[in-house]
Amino acid sequence: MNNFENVFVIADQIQNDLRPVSMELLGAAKELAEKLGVKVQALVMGHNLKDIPQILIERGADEVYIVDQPELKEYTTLTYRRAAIAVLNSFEKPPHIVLCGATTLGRDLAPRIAAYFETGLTADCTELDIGEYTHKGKADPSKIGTFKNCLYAIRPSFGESLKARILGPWKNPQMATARAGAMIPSRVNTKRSGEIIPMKVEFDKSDFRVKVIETIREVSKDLDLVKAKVIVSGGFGLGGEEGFNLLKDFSTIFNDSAIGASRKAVDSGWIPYAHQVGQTGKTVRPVVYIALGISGAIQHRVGISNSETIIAVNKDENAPIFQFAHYGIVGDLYEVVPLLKEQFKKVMGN
Amino acid sequence: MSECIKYDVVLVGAGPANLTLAYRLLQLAKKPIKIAIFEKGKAVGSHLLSGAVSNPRVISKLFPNWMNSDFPLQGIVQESNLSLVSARRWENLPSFATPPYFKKEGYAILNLSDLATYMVRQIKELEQGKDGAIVDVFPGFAATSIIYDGNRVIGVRVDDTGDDESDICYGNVISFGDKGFLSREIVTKFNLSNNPQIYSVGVKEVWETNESYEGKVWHTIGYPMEPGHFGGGFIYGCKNNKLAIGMVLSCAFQNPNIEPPQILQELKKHHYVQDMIRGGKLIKYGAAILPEGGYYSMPEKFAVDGAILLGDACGTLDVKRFSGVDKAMESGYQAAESVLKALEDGDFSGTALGLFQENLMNGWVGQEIRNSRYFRQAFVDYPELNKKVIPGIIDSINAGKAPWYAVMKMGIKDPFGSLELLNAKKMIENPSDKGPVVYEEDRLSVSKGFKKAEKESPVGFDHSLLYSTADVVFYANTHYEEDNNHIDELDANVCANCIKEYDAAGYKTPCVGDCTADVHQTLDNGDYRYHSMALENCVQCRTCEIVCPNSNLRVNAAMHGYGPDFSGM
Amino acid sequence: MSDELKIVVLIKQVPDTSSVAGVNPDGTVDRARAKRMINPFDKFALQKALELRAEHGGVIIAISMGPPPAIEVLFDAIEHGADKGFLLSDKRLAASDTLATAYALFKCIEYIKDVDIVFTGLQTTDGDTAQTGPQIAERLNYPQITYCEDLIVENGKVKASRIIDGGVQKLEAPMPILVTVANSATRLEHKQFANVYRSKELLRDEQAKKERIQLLDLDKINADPKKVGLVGSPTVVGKTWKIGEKGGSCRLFKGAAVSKEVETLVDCLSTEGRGIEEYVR
Ligand SMILES: Cc1cc2nc3c(=O)[nH]c(=O)nc-3n(C[C@H](O)[C@H](O)[C@H](O)COP(=O)(O)OP(=O)(O)OC[C@H]3O[C@@H](n4cnc5c(N)ncnc54)[C@H](O)[C@@H]3O)c2cc1C
Ligand SMILES: Nc1ncnc2c1ncn2[C@@H]1O[C@H](COP(=O)(O)O)[C@@H](O)[C@H]1O
Repeated sequence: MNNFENVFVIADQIQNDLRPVSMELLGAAKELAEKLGVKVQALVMGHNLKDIPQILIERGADEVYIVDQPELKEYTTLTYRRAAIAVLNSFEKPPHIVLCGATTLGRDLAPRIAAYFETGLTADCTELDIGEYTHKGKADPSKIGTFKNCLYAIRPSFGESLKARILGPWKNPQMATARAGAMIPSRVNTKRSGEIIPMKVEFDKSDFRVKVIETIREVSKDLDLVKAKVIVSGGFGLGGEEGFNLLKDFSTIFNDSAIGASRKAVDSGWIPYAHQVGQTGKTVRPVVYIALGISGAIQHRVGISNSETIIAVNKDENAPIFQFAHYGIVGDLYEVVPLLKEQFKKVMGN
Repeated sequence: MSECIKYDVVLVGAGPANLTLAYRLLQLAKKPIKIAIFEKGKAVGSHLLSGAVSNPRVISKLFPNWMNSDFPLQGIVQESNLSLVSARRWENLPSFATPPYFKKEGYAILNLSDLATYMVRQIKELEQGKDGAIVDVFPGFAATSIIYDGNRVIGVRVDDTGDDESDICYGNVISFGDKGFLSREIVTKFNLSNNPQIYSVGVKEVWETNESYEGKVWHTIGYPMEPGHFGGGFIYGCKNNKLAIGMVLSCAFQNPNIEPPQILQELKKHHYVQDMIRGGKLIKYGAAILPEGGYYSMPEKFAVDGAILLGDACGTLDVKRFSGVDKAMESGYQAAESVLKALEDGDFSGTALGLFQENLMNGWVGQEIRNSRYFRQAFVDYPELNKKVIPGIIDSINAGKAPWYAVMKMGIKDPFGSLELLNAKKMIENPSDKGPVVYEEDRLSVSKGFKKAEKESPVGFDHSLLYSTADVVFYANTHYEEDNNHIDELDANVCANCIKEYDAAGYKTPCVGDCTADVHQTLDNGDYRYHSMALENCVQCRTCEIVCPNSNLRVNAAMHGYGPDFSGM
Repeated sequence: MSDELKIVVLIKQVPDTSSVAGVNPDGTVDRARAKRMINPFDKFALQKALELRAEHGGVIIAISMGPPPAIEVLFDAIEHGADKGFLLSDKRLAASDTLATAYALFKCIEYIKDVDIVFTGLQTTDGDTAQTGPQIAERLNYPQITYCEDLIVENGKVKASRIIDGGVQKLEAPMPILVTVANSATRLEHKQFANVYRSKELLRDEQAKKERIQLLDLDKINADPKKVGLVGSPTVVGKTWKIGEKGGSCRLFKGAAVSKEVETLVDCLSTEGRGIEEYVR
């Protein structure tokens, strides 16, 4: 196996805080690298990165390239682009695979890098794998052949109803961005060792064409439904306004959580419209959607169908919500929720 | 810089009536002609909903080659059934016992939205081949009000930028084919009729089924209609395994809570229907009203200075034959000649424009409508028909009697044998002249004192084939944005009082109870209950306006193409 | 010289997925039968262009790449107020991936010359990659602002705010520049009747129509056929499969003691890689 052709991850950090998607990328990269018998390389760019390179190693990187310069304190497309391209160009041969998060940063940066190298890039993948591919299509004879160790970049298409496997084995690096929350993050292993390789990048005047005037980060506690990772949502089955107190209490055990509601609960005046999820409310895509006392009318369903996991609790076994939830408990939510809260804390709490 | 925008002919609504007018105008025109077509739907056809089984007599006049072309035909009726339906049984009447106007063999099965799309394509083709002909189609632009110069109609407002010159489309002739959004204003303003229009509301679902029923149609009498309620069901088998299932329900009924979509679900509970749709998939849902007053609700004049009324806007629908499409088309066909002559002579008076009225009423449209003129009234004059006779027949069907027995009973034995009911039969079948009848507005029949009859319901049906109103509306694909407020509630206090009264009577208000799309609701603000609307659900059927006991709601033509998507209906 | 702007908006025609016509039983779209519509994300881009022109004057040029029916979106853009449309249509473009698409659109923009701002939508509803814009910017060597919500031009400079994860960023940049407009920006205003009327009048005149709507092919824009279409695309779609449809996939816990059910459920959640652990405090 060619030692140069590694799996390369561009880590995503904000204000020297490594984003969760970076761990997910490392988790995926580790699996890919093991299948290929190669190393995981990571690149992190910024200023005063401190222990980030070490964390990357603990999370699975074998080599960490760091570009730590004052110009990179704030993300801008052109400076980060310059740095990433410089590092990739420093290799004798390009990596086999380059992965980026499908975050606002990754979706801004990755296409520029791909266009620079004139190579393929698959956006928003939900799964990555390695496998063989035989291309038979005669339209372009130069593409015909069987290719081993291709990157399988798998992503939803056609409004999430299909999955498609995208391939680009003809040119390296084979690039992909991965949807946040889709891959399983690698676990911390403090005993892992790896190499940290500092790089120095020369910028061009043109790299500073775009100036950041101000960055405003929201520190609001009341997380936006659309961005929430966990949504605890209540419907008519709550029976009244008080029900939402139970939900709010339950939601405190989750980070990045928000309270949702079905239209009937909103119409009944139990909770403001801002919480309404569904066709006439918000479309959400959390990691977990917990539907409590929601029947699952189709209007509601279209708003939550992008959730990665849907858990439903409903008294009525025939409620339509059970037709599309991933997990369901048939029972009284007032009985189930307190137990659920305990159990989540016991099994998964830190 | 803006000069006023003017066409020779401005069509309000791209329905079969107006599109036939446009096509025929192009065919006949010898001089350059400029036509504008306004359609409130996002696309032509997206607000059109019908059955639709129709005599193809006008279609074959317009498109002689229609059978062998890309004409969007859903099928030709091979088997036409009139079905007597009870909760347990479903009996298709033998042919000899079926009244001739229910025999639809050889008729075309259409889907109106496709028909309109096809007609616009044909119109554009004619335009191309004709020097000086201009036809501009403006989908997504609703005519929202009428512009007059004194007593003459000169244009319609189609935008709301605030600048009249850019918002108004002027025309020498404005043709209203709009099913009441504006045409009612013409009828009222010019005092064209002293008999109100009365309506039915139709709800329809399109299913994709495992088996094909192409060419088979059923019209139903009985279950799930409440005794005394005028209406019935229809099931039309279309190509590509599509099945149209619908109910048509008169708005002139005491029950303030008809819940049209739920009556349709009741029909779908019947084992006969269940067998057809089991394993299938709901594709579309929609609702629309039908003017059912017929001859005596038609305006005295079909034209005023600068404007004409066509199709449903003019009341040409014939409930007895359940024929609206062909008559609407024929009205456009006949009007073309008057409009052309008016353009040639430069005379746009009501008299000149209205010349077609005579031709239309002397031809088959007039003959059939006149022949049906007491049909609807028979059910008013002889309420026993709906309350006893039909329920009686249905009961005997339910008890296992053969349909011919039930029908015989209808003809010979009591209670149908009474002299009175023989009169009713005469009114239905072969009217002698009794003189004009006068209807009362639908809203006046709604009664808080209504008592629902106990009804037997089918058992053993598959729940997953039924939909709540909130769920089924999803299949109307409605789309609105925040600036939509196309239904006016004229006085909030009137609504609050109405709610109080109906609450006390144990009913939802008629707007809530008769809504086809879960739009109207009553909410509580702590002090009192008030009326509120989820306008984003609205399919623009206008039922709420018709049944509001206080005439406190007005459904305006929604702008910007907002509304349902009935393509495929 | 005034500060008039030459603005390009990239608009794609996509299948109308809200209508059932043309959606195959397996969920894929039959492009021949499907209804078509303007990519909804591109409407925000068009609105930004209209706002800028209202403020500074200049011209708006809409560009679309696609098969001949895609000309409909250019008519649409003109009815909304765009000045001109260019349709790049060429058989050799079939099966282009985003890199190849970006190359072709980059050649179009080069052909148009002296552009101040290129607006694109955030992403498309059929391609859904959000990468065409930045890939074009890379070829043009333009700076870029993605996820842009707000933008003005002042003293020849662009001042914009863009969404970032967890906040917003205010930026200043020179022109020319490429901007991808977020779908939280201002909605496209409705077409105005008078505007639609005038564009219909105008396009009736064959000569005026030719000037307003131009058809381009690869040769005209001097593009290398090897860099587009299947040949120029580094990626291909391998296989597609349907995502588990409703029904049957729900793991239903019922009948047992509630505490037991809850235990089993949480166990499943933690062992089946659902990624929930990370969010439990
Ligand atoms: C459920 C149902 C079943 C039916 N079944 C049958 C049947 O089997 N056979 C039969 O022959 N007839 C049937 N009919 C009746 C038939 O559909 C109508 O009679 C016929 O469509 C009338 O045609 P029209 O052109 O007059 O009006 P419509 O078909 O109502 O067309 C009016 C058009 O105008 C548009 N419009 C309205 N207001 C405005 C405005 N202000 N500005 C711009 N555009 C506007 C509407 O969007 C619509 O496109 C049925 C009707 C219903 C509701
Ligand atoms: N064929 C095309 N024609 C014109 N613009 C396009 C085309 N493909 C992509 N775009 C533009 O690029 C943006 C991002 O598209 P995508 O990368 O496909 O998600 C779109 O919103 C359009 O503005």
